[in-house]
Amino acid sequence: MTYQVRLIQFEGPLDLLLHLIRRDKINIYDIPISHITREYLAYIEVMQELELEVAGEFFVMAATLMRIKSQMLLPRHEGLEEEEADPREELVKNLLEYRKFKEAAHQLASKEEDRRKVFPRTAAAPVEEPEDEGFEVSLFDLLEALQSVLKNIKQQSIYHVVPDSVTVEQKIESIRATLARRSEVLFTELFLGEFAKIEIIVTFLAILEMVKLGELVARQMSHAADIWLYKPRVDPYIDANGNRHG
Amino acid sequence: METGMDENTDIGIDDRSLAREVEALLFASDTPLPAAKLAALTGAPSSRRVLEAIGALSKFYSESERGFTIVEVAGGYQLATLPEFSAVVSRLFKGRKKAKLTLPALETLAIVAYKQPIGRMQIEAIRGVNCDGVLATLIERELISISGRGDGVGKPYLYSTTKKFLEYLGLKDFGDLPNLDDLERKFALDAGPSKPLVPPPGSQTGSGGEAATGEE
Repeated sequence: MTYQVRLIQFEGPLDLLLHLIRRDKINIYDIPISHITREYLAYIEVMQELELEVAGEFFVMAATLMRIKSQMLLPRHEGLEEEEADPREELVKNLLEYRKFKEAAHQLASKEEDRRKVFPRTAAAPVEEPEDEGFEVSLFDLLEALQSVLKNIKQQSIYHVVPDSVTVEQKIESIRATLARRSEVLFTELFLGEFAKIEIIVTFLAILEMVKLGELVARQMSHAADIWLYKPRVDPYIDANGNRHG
Repeated sequence: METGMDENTDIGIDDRSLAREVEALLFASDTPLPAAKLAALTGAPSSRRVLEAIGALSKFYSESERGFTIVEVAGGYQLATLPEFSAVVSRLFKGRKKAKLTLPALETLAIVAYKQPIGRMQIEAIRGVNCDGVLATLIERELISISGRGDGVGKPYLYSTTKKFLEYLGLKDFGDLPNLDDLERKFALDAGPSKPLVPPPGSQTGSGGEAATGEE
């Protein structure tokens, strides 16, 4: 046999206390502490009987309530009454503060509800032209980038003996193939998996050659930032002098 | 949209072209555009002229019964559908809209909004519960962000709301948040304190055992 239990979910001990205060029409500024402690503990007991996980904060509050209750029982000094702090003071302050934000949360919820009925225009930001992104890098920037690539292989200290089989022409073909698939490529990406110095140099020469031919544009957002290589939008086979290459 | 424009004022040719430029910008933008930015982009002589143009556009949209209008949010302006079409537009975005915030998340968000920058400990002191999870959710939804580090042990992170927070709730600015004092006054009615239990500051240094126990 199954049965369902519906229990108000309390967010925390303060929430539960506010619920009890509202339910029993208690003046929050003058809380009957033994009554509220009894009700509070009863609630926790129910939660435990239902095998709900009772967060530690609930027990801390239970202890606080019992401490306040015992302090309330202590005889108060007649003459000092004015100056003596009410043991409930701290708790009431917390409850008032929490209640304020709980109410604020409800008001934000209604703002959220209103806003969800309204759909702002969400134009996708237009694809940026490479020309708008950063500036064209100089030969020196490219050399610097090459240096860091070379430094990387030194750190890996792997030595490969490869026959000098890759030519600049072959490398250009392979970069062209890469750029046929995608609109841009990271400078360092072209060196991935290349450990032999000669191969890196060949790749670098291929990049330089392609930049010279106008087949590649190298840009970066700032100095020392990643260098991106793009296909220029003009006919790549015609250089600045109008001569046809390739 | 109050622009202080006379009902019968016919906007001049210059303003009409400004209004069309503003319309084009609002149409193309994916974020609210502040009046000052609209002025800078269009070369309008002042933000006031832009506001007039926005007012004229809004009036035009409502008079010609469009399905959208211009809303002021997060310090800027954007085009948005009218609330009355929420059902039909929701159908378009079915399953693609993020879930509403839970009450614990809204509570935490409210505390951050009013008390920013604020650390996790202070938030937890107010809510009386652990807030790790909700804070993570709010950060993930970009409604709050870490805005600095506080003094004290471990230099705790401090949280503040983001611009997206205003956008998400459709608030013009922080002045658009519910007034905290009003919230307090709202409760003052239901149980008027005959004698305030919380004593005025200065009298708290009494010999009460309260301060000495310090159970927090």
